Amino acid sequence: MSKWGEIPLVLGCCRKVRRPARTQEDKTSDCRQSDYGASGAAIRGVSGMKVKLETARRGSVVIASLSGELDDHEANTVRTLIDKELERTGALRLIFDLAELTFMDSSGLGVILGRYRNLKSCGGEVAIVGVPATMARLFDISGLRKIIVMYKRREDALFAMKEEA
Amino acid sequence: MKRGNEMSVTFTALSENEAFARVAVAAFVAQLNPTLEELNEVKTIVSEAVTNSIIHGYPDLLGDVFLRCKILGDTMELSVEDHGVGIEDIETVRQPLFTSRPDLERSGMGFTIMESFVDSLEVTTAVGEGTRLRFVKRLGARRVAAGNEV
Repeated sequence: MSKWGEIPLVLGCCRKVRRPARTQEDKTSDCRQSDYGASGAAIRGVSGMKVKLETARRGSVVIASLSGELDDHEANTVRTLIDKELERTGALRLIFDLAELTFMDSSGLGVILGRYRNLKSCGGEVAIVGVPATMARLFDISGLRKIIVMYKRREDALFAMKEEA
Repeated sequence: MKRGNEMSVTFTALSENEAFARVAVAAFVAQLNPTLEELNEVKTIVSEAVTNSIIHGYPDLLGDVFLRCKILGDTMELSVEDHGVGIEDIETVRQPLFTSRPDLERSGMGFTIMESFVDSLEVTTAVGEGTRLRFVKRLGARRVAAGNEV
């Protein structure tokens, strides 16, 4: 039994659930067309921070790629930006791509766990890809590895979530 | 008694200094020729301890964080101290998943992570006076026995 499984969902009810899975063909929505397509990723880099977040969209999945150092100082910004992107797209599935992350502490685990709880309570899912070797132990010790699925590559996670890589 | 090589830094308890604290300690202990993994563990310990002081030690006030690091042989001794509110029940705080601030959506894994990454961790705290964490960690030693460390 995972440690996290025993945690009550204290974060309250999930945000308003919109249509969970917009397809690639569905362009009548309020989302800009540029959000779709092979290279049409909605990328918004954040400059001036030690951590950099880029978000992309593949079908009904939001991919949050982090680079740099994710600590308590940066956690709030990252959390807010990811939540805004989930809110904006109505996506219920989220992939954290940590391949370019050079440092993370328990504040970062808090960000991932928080998104996991929120999305899970709405029937969504979260996956992690590209955990750097130096951070592997962090995920073991915290027990996060037991509850959140991890993949080596982004394509593997997308495949598991049945979206085209 | 042999005198170790020491350094100390005092800085304002602001979250933007967390990165500075990590780098300062990592640069100092680099002379022990730690593995990349060990260096990352040191950075994580510093980050966790300093973050605790900033968030929990000084919740509504702004104080200083005192960082001391000493090298003795192949061992690093690190102390992170604040003169903040102190911890009432240290045993509870050390439990995995415990967090006094669920509103901040933190993982509650800080102490567990710190304990796992060092050889010893000693906590001295008094309500209204502050908290000091003392870590001892051997560095560079695992280079030989790489591959199967616990």
